[in-house]
Amino acid sequence: MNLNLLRRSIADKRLSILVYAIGVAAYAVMILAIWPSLRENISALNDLWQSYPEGIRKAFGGENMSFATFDGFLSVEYFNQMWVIVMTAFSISIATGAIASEIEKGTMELLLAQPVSRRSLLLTRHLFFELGLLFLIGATLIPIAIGSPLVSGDMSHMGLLAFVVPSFLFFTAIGSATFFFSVLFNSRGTAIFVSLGIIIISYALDILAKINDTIGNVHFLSIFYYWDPYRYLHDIDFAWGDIAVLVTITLISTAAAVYRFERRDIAV
Amino acid sequence: MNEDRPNIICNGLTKYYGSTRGIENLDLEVGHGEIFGFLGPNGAGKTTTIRMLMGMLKPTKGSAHVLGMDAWRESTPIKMNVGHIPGDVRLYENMHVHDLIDYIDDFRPGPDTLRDELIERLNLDVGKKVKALSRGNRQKVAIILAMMYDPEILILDEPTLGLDPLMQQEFYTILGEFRDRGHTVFLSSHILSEVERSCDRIGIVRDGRLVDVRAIEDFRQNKIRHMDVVFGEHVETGEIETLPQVVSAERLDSHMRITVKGDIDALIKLLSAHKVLDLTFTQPSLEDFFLSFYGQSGDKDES
Repeated sequence: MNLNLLRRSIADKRLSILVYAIGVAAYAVMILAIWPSLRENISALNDLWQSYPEGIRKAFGGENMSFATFDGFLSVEYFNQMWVIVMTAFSISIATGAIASEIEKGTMELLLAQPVSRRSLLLTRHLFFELGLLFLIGATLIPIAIGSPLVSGDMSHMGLLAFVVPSFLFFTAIGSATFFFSVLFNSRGTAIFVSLGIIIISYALDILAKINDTIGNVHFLSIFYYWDPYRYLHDIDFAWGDIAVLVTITLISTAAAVYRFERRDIAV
Repeated sequence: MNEDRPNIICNGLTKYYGSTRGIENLDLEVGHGEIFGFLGPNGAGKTTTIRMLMGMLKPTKGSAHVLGMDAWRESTPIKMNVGHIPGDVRLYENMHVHDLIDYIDDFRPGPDTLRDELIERLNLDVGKKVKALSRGNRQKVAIILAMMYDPEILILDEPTLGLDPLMQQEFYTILGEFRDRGHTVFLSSHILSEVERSCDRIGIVRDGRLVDVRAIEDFRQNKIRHMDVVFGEHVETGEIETLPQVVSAERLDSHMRITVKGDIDALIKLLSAHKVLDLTFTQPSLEDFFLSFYGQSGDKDES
Protein backbone atom coordinates (compact mmCIF):
# COMPACT_ATOMS: atom_id res chain seq x y z
CA MET A 1 0.00 0.00 0.00
CA ASN A 2 1.32 3.42 -0.92
CA LEU A 3 0.12 6.33 1.26
CA ASN A 4 1.17 8.98 -1.25
CA LEU A 5 -0.90 7.31 -3.95
CA LEU A 6 -3.88 6.91 -1.59
CA ARG A 7 -3.77 10.58 -0.56
CA ARG A 8 -3.64 11.66 -4.21
CA SER A 9 -6.53 9.36 -5.17
CA ILE A 10 -8.65 10.86 -2.40
CA ALA A 11 -7.71 14.41 -3.42
CA ASP A 12 -8.49 13.70 -7.09
CA LYS A 13 -11.83 12.01 -6.51
CA ARG A 14 -13.14 13.77 -3.43
CA LEU A 15 -15.53 15.97 -5.37
CA SER A 16 -17.06 13.17 -7.42
CA ILE A 17 -17.39 10.96 -4.32
CA LEU A 18 -19.07 13.84 -2.53
CA VAL A 19 -21.54 14.20 -5.40
CA TYR A 20 -22.30 10.47 -5.26
CA ALA A 21 -22.70 10.69 -1.46
CA ILE A 22 -25.05 13.68 -1.65
CA GLY A 23 -27.05 11.82 -4.30
CA VAL A 24 -27.53 8.60 -2.32
CA ALA A 25 -28.21 10.51 0.90
CA ALA A 26 -30.71 12.84 -0.78
CA TYR A 27 -32.57 9.90 -2.32
CA ALA A 28 -32.68 8.19 1.08
CA VAL A 29 -34.11 11.37 2.62
CA MET A 30 -36.70 11.53 -0.17
CA ILE A 31 -37.76 7.93 0.52
CA LEU A 32 -38.05 8.80 4.21
CA ALA A 33 -40.06 11.90 3.38
CA ILE A 34 -42.63 10.16 1.20
CA TRP A 35 -43.07 7.11 3.45
CA PRO A 36 -45.53 8.72 5.99
CA SER A 37 -47.97 9.73 3.26
CA LEU A 38 -47.69 6.37 1.51
CA ARG A 39 -48.12 4.47 4.77
CA GLU A 40 -51.65 5.89 5.09
CA ASN A 41 -52.55 4.11 1.85
CA ILE A 42 -50.27 1.15 2.41
CA SER A 43 -52.97 -1.51 2.34
CA ALA A 44 -53.96 -0.46 -1.20
CA LEU A 45 -50.30 -0.35 -2.20
CA ASN A 46 -49.70 -3.75 -0.66
CA ASP A 47 -52.77 -5.16 -2.40
CA LEU A 48 -51.40 -3.85 -5.67
CA TRP A 49 -48.02 -5.47 -4.92
CA GLN A 50 -49.65 -8.78 -4.02
CA SER A 51 -51.71 -8.64 -7.21
CA TYR A 52 -48.53 -8.79 -9.31
CA PRO A 53 -47.58 -12.22 -10.67
CA GLU A 54 -45.50 -14.26 -8.30
CA GLY A 55 -42.49 -14.13 -10.64
CA ILE A 56 -42.54 -10.34 -10.77
CA ARG A 57 -42.75 -10.14 -6.99
CA LYS A 58 -39.84 -12.56 -6.68
CA ALA A 59 -37.85 -10.61 -9.19
CA PHE A 60 -38.24 -7.19 -7.60
CA GLY A 61 -38.04 -7.83 -3.92
CA GLY A 62 -39.06 -11.31 -2.93
CA GLU A 63 -42.17 -13.39 -2.95
CA ASN A 64 -42.89 -12.89 0.71
CA MET A 65 -41.90 -9.27 0.90
CA SER A 66 -44.46 -6.91 2.30
CA PHE A 67 -44.92 -3.35 1.14
CA ALA A 68 -46.57 -2.61 4.44
CA THR A 69 -43.25 -2.25 6.21
CA PHE A 70 -40.70 0.50 5.73
CA ASP A 71 -37.86 -1.98 5.14
CA GLY A 72 -39.93 -3.63 2.40
CA PHE A 73 -40.67 -0.29 0.80
CA LEU A 74 -37.01 0.74 1.12
CA SER A 75 -35.83 -2.51 -0.49
CA VAL A 76 -38.13 -2.26 -3.50
CA GLU A 77 -38.12 1.48 -4.07
CA TYR A 78 -34.50 2.25 -3.30
CA PHE A 79 -32.00 -0.55 -2.74
CA ASN A 80 -33.23 -2.73 -5.60
CA GLN A 81 -33.53 0.20 -8.00
CA MET A 82 -31.76 3.54 -7.84
CA TRP A 83 -29.25 2.58 -5.16
CA VAL A 84 -27.96 -0.52 -6.94
CA ILE A 85 -27.58 1.48 -10.16
CA VAL A 86 -25.69 4.35 -8.49
CA MET A 87 -23.42 2.06 -6.49
CA THR A 88 -22.67 -0.08 -9.56
CA ALA A 89 -21.88 3.06 -11.58
CA PHE A 90 -19.55 4.22 -8.79
CA SER A 91 -17.81 0.83 -8.63
CA ILE A 92 -17.24 0.66 -12.38
CA SER A 93 -16.17 4.29 -12.59
CA ILE A 94 -13.54 4.01 -9.85
CA ALA A 95 -12.22 0.60 -10.94
CA THR A 96 -11.83 1.52 -14.61
CA GLY A 97 -10.42 4.94 -13.69
CA ALA A 98 -7.80 3.28 -11.48
CA ILE A 99 -5.90 1.40 -14.17
CA ALA A 100 -7.38 1.40 -17.71
CA SER A 101 -7.93 5.14 -17.74
CA GLU A 102 -4.34 5.81 -16.60
CA ILE A 103 -3.00 3.50 -19.31
CA GLU A 104 -5.21 5.13 -21.93
CA LYS A 105 -4.19 8.67 -20.92
CA GLY A 106 -0.52 7.69 -20.71
CA THR A 107 -0.16 8.78 -17.08
CA MET A 108 0.49 5.17 -16.01
CA GLU A 109 3.97 5.54 -17.46
CA LEU A 110 4.59 8.53 -15.17
CA LEU A 111 3.36 6.57 -12.15
CA LEU A 112 5.37 3.45 -12.96
CA ALA A 113 8.51 5.53 -13.47
CA GLN A 114 8.34 6.08 -9.69
CA PRO A 115 9.44 3.52 -7.09
CA VAL A 116 5.98 2.05 -6.62
CA SER A 117 5.32 -1.56 -7.56
CA ARG A 118 2.43 -2.51 -9.80
CA ARG A 119 0.98 -4.65 -7.01
CA SER A 120 1.14 -1.79 -4.55
CA LEU A 121 -0.40 0.59 -7.08
CA LEU A 122 -3.34 -1.73 -7.79
CA LEU A 123 -3.97 -2.67 -4.16
CA THR A 124 -3.80 0.99 -3.07
CA ARG A 125 -6.35 1.94 -5.70
CA HIS A 126 -8.46 -1.03 -4.58
CA LEU A 127 -8.30 0.16 -0.99
CA PHE A 128 -9.32 3.63 -2.10
CA PHE A 129 -12.31 2.12 -3.91
CA GLU A 130 -13.34 0.20 -0.77
CA LEU A 131 -13.05 3.34 1.36
CA GLY A 132 -15.25 5.14 -1.17
CA LEU A 133 -17.81 2.35 -1.00
CA LEU A 134 -17.91 2.51 2.80
CA PHE A 135 -18.37 6.28 2.63
CA LEU A 136 -21.31 5.94 0.22
CA ILE A 137 -22.92 3.17 2.26
CA GLY A 138 -22.53 5.39 5.31
CA ALA A 139 -24.02 8.35 3.44
CA THR A 140 -26.99 6.13 2.53
CA LEU A 141 -27.63 4.47 5.86
CA ILE A 142 -26.95 7.28 8.34
CA PRO A 143 -29.98 9.34 7.18
CA ILE A 144 -32.07 6.15 7.19
CA ALA A 145 -30.90 5.14 10.68
CA ILE A 146 -31.62 8.61 12.01
CA GLY A 147 -34.81 9.21 10.06
CA SER A 148 -36.60 5.87 10.17
CA PRO A 149 -37.71 6.09 13.85
CA LEU A 150 -39.21 9.48 13.03
CA VAL A 151 -41.30 8.17 10.14
CA SER A 152 -42.05 4.52 10.83
CA GLY A 153 -40.58 2.86 13.86
CA ASP A 154 -40.54 -0.55 12.17
CA MET A 155 -36.93 -0.30 10.97
CA SER A 156 -34.42 -2.35 12.91
CA HIS A 157 -30.93 -1.00 13.37
CA MET A 158 -29.75 -4.61 13.56
CA GLY A 159 -31.29 -5.06 10.12
CA LEU A 160 -29.24 -2.13 8.83
CA LEU A 161 -26.15 -3.72 10.33
CA ALA A 162 -26.97 -7.03 8.65
CA PHE A 163 -27.39 -5.11 5.39
CA VAL A 164 -24.02 -3.32 5.56
CA VAL A 165 -21.62 -6.26 5.28
CA PRO A 166 -23.09 -8.17 2.31
CA SER A 167 -23.87 -4.88 0.52
CA PHE A 168 -20.29 -3.67 0.93
CA LEU A 169 -19.01 -7.05 -0.23
CA PHE A 170 -21.45 -7.19 -3.15
CA PHE A 171 -20.13 -3.96 -4.64
CA THR A 172 -16.56 -4.85 -3.66
CA ALA A 173 -16.97 -8.02 -5.71
CA ILE A 174 -18.37 -6.05 -8.67
CA GLY A 175 -15.54 -3.53 -8.35
CA SER A 176 -12.89 -6.26 -8.05
CA ALA A 177 -14.09 -7.97 -11.21
CA THR A 178 -14.04 -4.56 -12.92
CA PHE A 179 -10.47 -4.02 -11.69
CA PHE A 180 -9.55 -7.19 -13.53
CA PHE A 181 -11.04 -5.86 -16.77
CA SER A 182 -9.41 -2.49 -16.08
CA VAL A 183 -6.05 -4.29 -16.03
CA LEU A 184 -6.87 -6.41 -19.05
CA PHE A 185 -7.68 -3.62 -21.50
CA ASN A 186 -5.84 -0.50 -22.66
CA SER A 187 -9.05 1.43 -23.09
CA ARG A 188 -11.34 2.56 -20.29
CA GLY A 189 -14.31 2.39 -22.65
CA THR A 190 -13.68 -1.28 -23.37
CA ALA A 191 -13.29 -2.06 -19.66
CA ILE A 192 -16.59 -0.28 -18.90
CA PHE A 193 -18.36 -1.99 -21.80
CA VAL A 194 -17.27 -5.49 -20.75
CA SER A 195 -17.91 -4.96 -17.02
CA LEU A 196 -21.29 -3.36 -17.55
CA GLY A 197 -22.24 -6.03 -20.08
CA ILE A 198 -21.49 -8.81 -17.61
CA ILE A 199 -23.42 -7.04 -14.83
CA ILE A 200 -26.44 -6.50 -17.07
CA ILE A 201 -26.38 -10.14 -18.18
CA SER A 202 -26.02 -11.19 -14.54
CA TYR A 203 -28.96 -8.98 -13.54
CA ALA A 204 -31.09 -10.32 -16.40
CA LEU A 205 -30.24 -13.88 -15.39
CA ASP A 206 -31.29 -13.09 -11.82
CA ILE A 207 -34.64 -11.67 -12.94
CA LEU A 208 -35.33 -14.48 -15.43
CA ALA A 209 -34.37 -17.18 -12.93
CA LYS A 210 -36.82 -15.71 -10.40
CA ILE A 211 -39.61 -15.53 -12.96
CA ASN A 212 -38.96 -18.79 -14.75
CA ASP A 213 -38.33 -21.87 -12.63
CA THR A 214 -36.90 -23.82 -15.56
CA ILE A 215 -33.73 -21.73 -15.50
CA GLY A 216 -33.74 -21.50 -11.72
CA ASN A 217 -30.98 -24.08 -11.50
CA VAL A 218 -28.47 -21.64 -13.05
CA HIS A 219 -29.56 -18.78 -10.81
CA PHE A 220 -26.43 -19.21 -8.71
CA LEU A 221 -24.35 -18.00 -11.69
CA SER A 222 -25.69 -14.47 -11.19
CA ILE A 223 -23.93 -12.30 -8.62
CA PHE A 224 -27.32 -10.80 -7.77
CA TYR A 225 -28.29 -14.20 -6.34
CA TYR A 226 -25.97 -13.38 -3.45
CA TRP A 227 -27.46 -10.01 -2.51
CA ASP A 228 -30.95 -9.69 -1.06
CA PRO A 229 -31.55 -6.38 0.75
CA TYR A 230 -35.00 -7.23 2.05
CA ARG A 231 -33.79 -10.45 3.67
CA TYR A 232 -30.97 -8.62 5.46
CA LEU A 233 -33.14 -5.69 6.56
CA HIS A 234 -36.35 -7.48 7.48
CA ASP A 235 -35.16 -10.91 8.60
CA ILE A 236 -31.94 -9.54 10.15
CA ASP A 237 -30.13 -12.29 8.28
CA PHE A 238 -26.36 -11.90 8.41
CA ALA A 239 -26.16 -14.13 5.32
CA TRP A 240 -22.85 -15.87 5.89
CA GLY A 241 -23.32 -17.93 2.72
CA ASP A 242 -23.65 -14.79 0.57
CA ILE A 243 -20.71 -13.22 2.38
CA ALA A 244 -18.52 -16.27 1.69
CA VAL A 245 -19.33 -16.25 -2.03
CA LEU A 246 -18.81 -12.48 -2.38
CA VAL A 247 -15.49 -12.64 -0.51
CA THR A 248 -14.39 -15.49 -2.80
CA ILE A 249 -15.29 -13.50 -5.94
CA THR A 250 -13.40 -10.49 -4.55
CA LEU A 251 -10.27 -12.47 -3.69
CA ILE A 252 -10.14 -14.36 -6.98
CA SER A 253 -10.78 -11.22 -9.07
CA THR A 254 -8.22 -9.17 -7.18
CA ALA A 255 -5.59 -11.90 -7.35
CA ALA A 256 -6.21 -12.27 -11.10
CA ALA A 257 -5.95 -8.49 -11.56
CA VAL A 258 -2.64 -8.35 -9.65
CA TYR A 259 -1.29 -11.37 -11.55
CA ARG A 260 -2.15 -9.87 -14.92
CA PHE A 261 -1.04 -6.32 -14.07
CA GLU A 262 2.36 -7.53 -12.90
CA ARG A 263 2.93 -9.31 -16.20
CA ARG A 264 1.44 -7.05 -18.83
CA ASP A 265 3.25 -4.52 -20.99
CA ILE A 266 2.43 -0.88 -20.41
CA ALA A 267 2.13 0.73 -23.81
CA VAL A 268 0.45 4.04 -24.60
CA MET B 1 27.36 2.19 -6.01
CA ASN B 2 29.60 -0.37 -7.71
CA GLU B 3 32.05 1.57 -9.89
CA ASP B 4 33.31 -1.56 -11.67
CA ARG B 5 29.94 -2.64 -12.95
CA PRO B 6 28.37 -0.73 -15.87
CA ASN B 7 25.19 1.06 -14.82
CA ILE B 8 23.25 -0.30 -17.78
CA ILE B 9 23.80 -3.74 -19.31
CA CYS B 10 21.70 -5.26 -22.09
CA ASN B 11 22.31 -8.89 -23.05
CA GLY B 12 20.59 -10.12 -26.20
CA LEU B 13 17.68 -7.84 -25.36
CA THR B 14 14.82 -8.56 -27.73
CA LYS B 15 11.24 -7.39 -27.93
CA TYR B 16 8.59 -8.47 -30.37
CA TYR B 17 5.01 -7.20 -30.37
CA GLY B 18 3.38 -10.32 -31.73
CA SER B 19 5.16 -10.75 -35.03
CA THR B 20 6.25 -7.10 -35.20
CA ARG B 21 9.87 -6.44 -34.32
CA GLY B 22 10.65 -3.85 -31.64
CA ILE B 23 14.36 -4.42 -30.99
CA GLU B 24 16.43 -7.50 -31.61
CA ASN B 25 19.40 -8.99 -29.82
CA LEU B 26 20.71 -5.77 -28.27
CA ASP B 27 24.04 -6.08 -26.47
CA LEU B 28 25.12 -2.86 -24.80
CA GLU B 29 26.90 -1.49 -21.75
CA VAL B 30 26.80 2.07 -20.44
CA GLY B 31 29.21 3.07 -17.69
CA HIS B 32 29.40 5.65 -14.93
CA GLY B 33 29.83 9.31 -15.76
CA GLU B 34 28.82 8.80 -19.35
CA ILE B 35 26.20 10.31 -21.63
CA PHE B 36 25.27 7.62 -24.11
CA GLY B 37 23.27 8.59 -27.18
CA PHE B 38 20.98 6.03 -28.73
CA LEU B 39 20.55 7.28 -32.26
CA GLY B 40 18.19 6.01 -34.89
CA PRO B 41 15.28 6.94 -37.12
CA ASN B 42 11.67 6.70 -35.97
CA GLY B 43 10.58 3.09 -35.55
CA ALA B 44 14.15 1.81 -35.14
CA GLY B 45 13.50 0.42 -31.65
CA LYS B 46 14.78 3.23 -29.40
CA THR B 47 11.59 3.72 -27.40
CA THR B 48 11.08 -0.04 -27.07
CA THR B 49 14.56 -0.35 -25.56
CA ILE B 50 13.93 2.52 -23.15
CA ARG B 51 10.59 1.07 -22.09
CA MET B 52 12.29 -2.24 -21.31
CA LEU B 53 14.98 -0.45 -19.29
CA MET B 54 12.17 1.25 -17.35
CA GLY B 55 10.31 -2.02 -16.72
CA MET B 56 7.27 -1.00 -18.77
CA LEU B 57 7.75 -3.81 -21.29
CA LYS B 58 8.74 -7.39 -20.64
CA PRO B 59 11.58 -8.57 -22.90
CA THR B 60 10.68 -11.34 -25.31
CA LYS B 61 14.24 -12.65 -24.97
CA GLY B 62 17.43 -11.56 -23.26
CA SER B 63 17.74 -9.23 -20.30
CA ALA B 64 18.41 -5.67 -19.25
CA HIS B 65 20.12 -4.77 -16.00
CA VAL B 66 20.11 -1.30 -14.49
CA LEU B 67 22.29 -0.60 -11.44
CA GLY B 68 22.93 -4.35 -11.29
CA MET B 69 19.24 -5.24 -11.00
CA ASP B 70 16.96 -6.90 -13.54
CA ALA B 71 14.98 -4.16 -15.25
CA TRP B 72 11.78 -6.22 -15.39
CA ARG B 73 11.80 -8.23 -12.18
CA GLU B 74 13.38 -5.59 -9.90
CA SER B 75 11.87 -2.56 -11.53
CA THR B 76 10.64 -0.93 -8.30
CA PRO B 77 13.96 -0.63 -6.39
CA ILE B 78 15.72 0.45 -9.60
CA LYS B 79 13.45 3.47 -9.82
CA MET B 80 14.65 4.81 -6.50
CA ASN B 81 17.71 5.92 -8.45
CA VAL B 82 16.49 6.39 -12.01
CA GLY B 83 14.89 9.45 -13.58
CA HIS B 84 12.90 9.03 -16.76
CA ILE B 85 11.49 11.27 -19.46
CA PRO B 86 9.15 9.39 -21.81
CA GLY B 87 9.03 10.11 -25.52
CA ASP B 88 5.44 11.22 -25.25
CA VAL B 89 5.10 13.20 -22.03
CA ARG B 90 1.68 12.72 -20.43
CA LEU B 91 0.86 14.52 -17.19
CA TYR B 92 -2.17 14.93 -14.94
CA GLU B 93 -4.01 17.71 -16.73
CA ASN B 94 -6.02 19.02 -13.78
CA MET B 95 -3.16 19.35 -11.33
CA HIS B 96 -1.18 22.49 -10.67
CA VAL B 97 2.46 22.07 -11.63
CA HIS B 98 3.68 22.55 -8.04
CA ASP B 99 1.21 19.93 -6.79
CA LEU B 100 2.39 17.49 -9.45
CA ILE B 101 6.02 18.07 -8.49
CA ASP B 102 5.14 17.56 -4.78
CA TYR B 103 3.24 14.38 -5.63
CA ILE B 104 6.06 12.80 -7.61
CA ASP B 105 8.60 14.01 -5.06
CA ASP B 106 6.75 12.21 -2.25
CA PHE B 107 7.35 8.80 -3.86
CA ARG B 108 11.00 8.98 -2.78
CA PRO B 109 12.26 9.45 0.77
CA GLY B 110 15.37 11.42 -0.25
CA PRO B 111 15.60 15.18 -0.72
CA ASP B 112 14.69 16.91 -3.99
CA THR B 113 18.06 18.66 -4.06
CA LEU B 114 17.76 20.10 -7.57
CA ARG B 115 14.09 21.04 -7.60
CA ASP B 116 14.29 24.79 -7.05
CA GLU B 117 17.43 25.16 -9.14
CA LEU B 118 15.84 23.35 -12.11
CA ILE B 119 12.62 25.37 -11.86
CA GLU B 120 14.68 28.56 -11.96
CA ARG B 121 17.06 27.50 -14.73
CA LEU B 122 14.26 26.20 -16.94
CA ASN B 123 12.20 29.29 -16.19
CA LEU B 124 9.01 27.37 -15.40
CA ASP B 125 5.88 28.89 -13.85
CA VAL B 126 4.82 26.20 -11.36
CA GLY B 127 1.65 28.04 -10.38
CA LYS B 128 -0.15 27.10 -13.59
CA LYS B 129 -2.35 24.12 -14.20
CA VAL B 130 -0.81 21.44 -16.40
CA LYS B 131 -3.56 21.76 -18.97
CA ALA B 132 -2.61 25.42 -19.49
CA LEU B 133 1.00 24.56 -20.36
CA SER B 134 2.51 24.63 -23.83
CA ARG B 135 4.29 21.60 -25.31
CA GLY B 136 7.66 23.02 -24.33
CA ASN B 137 6.61 23.79 -20.77
CA ARG B 138 5.23 20.27 -20.35
CA GLN B 139 8.63 19.00 -21.40
CA LYS B 140 10.23 21.23 -18.75
CA VAL B 141 7.94 19.70 -16.12
CA ALA B 142 8.99 16.22 -17.27
CA ILE B 143 12.66 17.23 -17.01
CA ILE B 144 12.16 18.53 -13.45
CA LEU B 145 10.23 15.40 -12.40
CA ALA B 146 13.02 13.19 -13.74
CA MET B 147 16.02 15.12 -12.44
CA MET B 148 14.98 16.92 -9.25
CA TYR B 149 16.28 14.25 -6.86
CA ASP B 150 19.61 13.91 -8.72
CA PRO B 151 19.23 10.21 -9.61
CA GLU B 152 22.21 8.01 -10.46
CA ILE B 153 20.82 7.28 -13.92
CA LEU B 154 18.71 9.26 -16.35
CA ILE B 155 16.87 7.38 -19.08
CA LEU B 156 15.56 9.92 -21.56
CA ASP B 157 13.51 9.41 -24.70
CA GLU B 158 13.83 12.38 -27.07
CA PRO B 159 14.17 14.74 -24.09
CA THR B 160 14.34 18.08 -25.93
CA LEU B 161 11.12 17.69 -27.92
CA GLY B 162 9.27 20.99 -27.84
CA LEU B 163 12.06 22.96 -26.14
CA ASP B 164 13.24 26.16 -27.81
CA PRO B 165 16.97 26.36 -28.75
CA LEU B 166 17.91 28.36 -25.65
CA MET B 167 16.24 25.85 -23.37
CA GLN B 168 17.83 22.98 -25.28
CA GLN B 169 21.21 24.58 -24.62
CA GLU B 170 20.40 24.96 -20.92
CA PHE B 171 19.21 21.37 -20.78
CA TYR B 172 22.45 20.07 -22.25
CA THR B 173 24.42 22.19 -19.80
CA ILE B 174 22.45 20.57 -16.97
CA LEU B 175 23.09 17.12 -18.46
CA GLY B 176 26.81 17.88 -18.64
CA GLU B 177 26.84 18.83 -14.94
CA PHE B 178 24.98 15.62 -14.22
CA ARG B 179 27.63 13.60 -16.02
CA ASP B 180 30.38 15.52 -14.22
CA ARG B 181 28.94 14.32 -10.91
CA GLY B 182 29.56 10.75 -12.11
CA HIS B 183 26.00 9.95 -13.10
CA THR B 184 24.89 8.09 -16.23
CA VAL B 185 22.63 9.33 -18.99
CA PHE B 186 21.02 7.09 -21.59
CA LEU B 187 19.48 9.35 -24.19
CA SER B 188 17.59 8.48 -27.34
CA SER B 189 17.26 10.81 -30.27
CA HIS B 190 16.68 10.86 -33.99
CA ILE B 191 18.43 14.23 -34.27
CA LEU B 192 22.06 13.83 -35.20
CA SER B 193 23.27 17.25 -34.06
CA GLU B 194 21.62 16.81 -30.67
CA VAL B 195 23.43 13.57 -29.99
CA GLU B 196 26.70 14.88 -31.38
CA ARG B 197 26.89 17.88 -29.10
CA SER B 198 25.86 16.18 -25.89
CA CYS B 199 27.05 12.57 -25.87
CA ASP B 200 30.30 10.82 -25.06
CA ARG B 201 29.43 7.69 -27.02
CA ILE B 202 26.70 6.85 -29.44
CA GLY B 203 24.96 3.64 -30.35
CA ILE B 204 23.33 3.57 -33.73
CA VAL B 205 20.18 1.54 -34.08
CA ARG B 206 18.44 0.80 -37.33
CA ASP B 207 15.59 -1.55 -38.19
CA GLY B 208 15.61 -2.96 -34.68
CA ARG B 209 19.32 -3.77 -34.57
CA LEU B 210 22.29 -2.01 -33.02
CA VAL B 211 24.59 -1.47 -35.98
CA ASP B 212 27.45 0.37 -34.31
CA VAL B 213 28.73 1.87 -31.05
CA ARG B 214 31.52 4.40 -31.16
CA ALA B 215 33.03 7.30 -29.22
CA ILE B 216 31.83 10.71 -30.30
CA GLU B 217 35.34 11.76 -31.42
CA ASP B 218 35.55 8.75 -33.70
CA PHE B 219 32.12 9.58 -34.98
CA ARG B 220 33.13 13.16 -35.75
CA GLN B 221 36.26 11.96 -37.54
CA ASN B 222 34.17 9.88 -39.90
CA LYS B 223 31.14 12.06 -40.32
CA ILE B 224 30.31 13.39 -43.74
CA ARG B 225 29.26 17.03 -44.03
CA HIS B 226 28.36 19.26 -46.92
CA MET B 227 30.06 22.62 -47.31
CA ASP B 228 28.69 25.21 -49.75
CA VAL B 229 31.34 27.80 -50.73
CA VAL B 230 30.88 30.92 -52.83
CA PHE B 231 34.29 31.95 -54.18
CA GLY B 232 35.24 35.46 -55.26
CA GLU B 233 37.51 33.97 -57.92
CA HIS B 234 37.69 30.92 -60.14
CA VAL B 235 38.68 27.76 -58.30
CA GLU B 236 38.94 24.32 -59.93
CA THR B 237 37.09 21.45 -58.26
CA GLY B 238 40.13 19.29 -58.93
CA GLU B 239 42.23 21.43 -56.60
CA ILE B 240 39.79 20.84 -53.75
CA GLU B 241 39.54 17.13 -54.48
CA THR B 242 43.27 16.67 -53.98
CA LEU B 243 42.67 16.67 -50.22
CA PRO B 244 42.12 13.15 -48.83
CA GLN B 245 39.28 14.34 -46.58
CA VAL B 246 37.27 15.62 -49.54
CA VAL B 247 34.87 13.01 -50.87
CA SER B 248 33.68 15.16 -53.77
CA ALA B 249 33.52 18.72 -55.02
CA GLU B 250 31.02 19.88 -57.62
CA ARG B 251 30.09 23.20 -59.03
CA LEU B 252 26.42 24.17 -58.58
CA ASP B 253 25.37 27.48 -60.14
CA SER B 254 27.12 30.19 -58.12
CA HIS B 255 28.72 28.00 -55.50
CA MET B 256 30.74 24.85 -55.03
CA ARG B 257 29.39 21.97 -52.93
CA ILE B 258 32.16 20.15 -51.16
CA THR B 259 31.46 16.88 -49.37
CA VAL B 260 34.01 16.32 -46.66
CA LYS B 261 34.58 13.41 -44.30
CA GLY B 262 36.17 13.86 -40.88
CA ASP B 263 38.73 16.56 -40.10
CA ILE B 264 38.12 19.83 -41.94
CA ASP B 265 41.27 21.65 -40.88
CA ALA B 266 43.21 21.05 -44.12
CA LEU B 267 40.22 22.07 -46.21
CA ILE B 268 39.77 25.34 -44.31
CA LYS B 269 43.47 26.12 -44.79
CA LEU B 270 43.19 25.42 -48.51
CA LEU B 271 40.09 27.61 -48.83
CA SER B 272 41.83 30.45 -47.01
CA ALA B 273 44.26 30.69 -49.90
CA HIS B 274 41.32 31.84 -52.06
CA LYS B 275 38.86 34.69 -51.88
CA VAL B 276 35.78 33.24 -50.14
CA LEU B 277 32.57 35.33 -50.24
CA ASP B 278 30.34 32.94 -48.33
CA LEU B 279 30.57 29.57 -46.62
CA THR B 280 27.86 27.41 -45.08
CA PHE B 281 27.92 23.98 -43.49
CA THR B 282 24.93 21.73 -43.79
CA GLN B 283 24.39 19.08 -41.14
CA PRO B 284 23.56 15.80 -42.85
CA SER B 285 20.14 14.33 -42.29
CA LEU B 286 19.94 11.06 -40.44
CA GLU B 287 19.37 9.27 -43.73
CA ASP B 288 22.47 10.96 -45.27
CA PHE B 289 24.33 9.87 -42.20
CA PHE B 290 23.25 6.27 -42.53
CA LEU B 291 24.11 6.28 -46.22
CA SER B 292 27.56 7.68 -45.54
CA PHE B 293 28.34 5.33 -42.68
CA TYR B 294 26.54 2.18 -43.56
CA GLY B 295 25.53 2.28 -47.19
CA GLN B 296 22.02 1.76 -48.51
CA SER B 297 21.53 -1.58 -46.84
CA GLY B 298 22.47 -0.33 -43.40
CA ASP B 299 25.50 -2.59 -43.32
CA LYS B 300 28.55 -0.92 -41.83
CA ASP B 301 30.77 0.69 -44.45
CA GLU B 302 34.34 0.84 -43.20
CA SER B 303 35.80 2.30 -46.37
